Amino acid sequence: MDDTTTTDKHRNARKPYVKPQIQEVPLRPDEAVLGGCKTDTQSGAGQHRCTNPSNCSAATS
Amino acid sequence: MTSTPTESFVSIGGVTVRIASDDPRLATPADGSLDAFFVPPRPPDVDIRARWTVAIDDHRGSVVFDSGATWRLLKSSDEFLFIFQSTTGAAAPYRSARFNRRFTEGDVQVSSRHFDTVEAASVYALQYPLDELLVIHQLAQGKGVEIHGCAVRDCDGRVFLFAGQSGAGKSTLARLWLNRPDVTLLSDERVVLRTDADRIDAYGTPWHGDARLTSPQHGPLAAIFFLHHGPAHRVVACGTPLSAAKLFSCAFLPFHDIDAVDRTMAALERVTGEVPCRDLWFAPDRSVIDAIAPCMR
Repeated sequence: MDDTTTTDKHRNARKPYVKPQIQEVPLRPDEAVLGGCKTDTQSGAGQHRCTNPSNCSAATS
Repeated sequence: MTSTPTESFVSIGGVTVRIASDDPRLATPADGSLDAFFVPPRPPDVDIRARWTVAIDDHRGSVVFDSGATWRLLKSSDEFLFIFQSTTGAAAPYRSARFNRRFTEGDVQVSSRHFDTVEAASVYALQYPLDELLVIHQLAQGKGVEIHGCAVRDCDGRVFLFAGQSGAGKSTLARLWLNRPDVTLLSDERVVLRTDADRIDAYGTPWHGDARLTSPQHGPLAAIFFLHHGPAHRVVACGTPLSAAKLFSCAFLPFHDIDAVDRTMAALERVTGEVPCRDLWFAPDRSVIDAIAPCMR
């Protein structure tokens, strides 16, 4: 078996070098962690009923 | 005298939760907002007991995660404990939820100091965000992942996911699909992907966005589009590694648990390896549907 020829074939079959590129994917920790219900200032899922009771008076949700 | 426990079964993203309580208000929300997600009795993935308490016990275990908002998570040798407290009231928590390590059994306590136990119309034990936290932790057992996205289901039952963070255009795009007879909107905010079967399925959820669209329907996931606002419509194929990173940026997972994060990453890798992923830039008009139609055939 001709090892040199086989190696040459492999070398010729290589893909051309392409310089790696860094692509940034932004993360948003405030969204990744469930906080509370969606408001004008806070991201989150909307709910028909959002409970955020005060403990200084009984809530009648 | 012993009261008869009420039980209800809610199914979200294929995760079925049985809620049992002596007070029916704890087992089912009175406003009907979750009606579409309640199901007939079936073997549950999670079995929960809900009850009133005078004082929430929030000292069992050490804090492993603090949301910085309404909840924090404590862990002890054999259980997890979610503690919920108001962002407007004083420091005393109004609800706790204890789960075993696999999130298959739980005990929810609701503080009678915070709710009128006689007059309150609804004090649903799994009130948001507990229901979503529970589903996320159940999925992270190797069942799938929840994605920030909207989704539509076509006439053949195939689901197309449009993923994006807040402001990417999920509700805008969802509204453009409204009133079309050829699709059903599953959600404009949260979509569950199940990866624990031969087929990857996508489910609607009750957690909606500005368009307030929810559905319990599901179907095989056919394609993913990553949403971007743009001056004109443009669809570009996205390679698997970058798609996995983008999907991760739109995923909800328990960051406190490295094994759960590993399992979720494996789920994302499978999804982006098996399902075509594309970037979609779109202007907010209905012609975007024609622009993506070739990718939905």
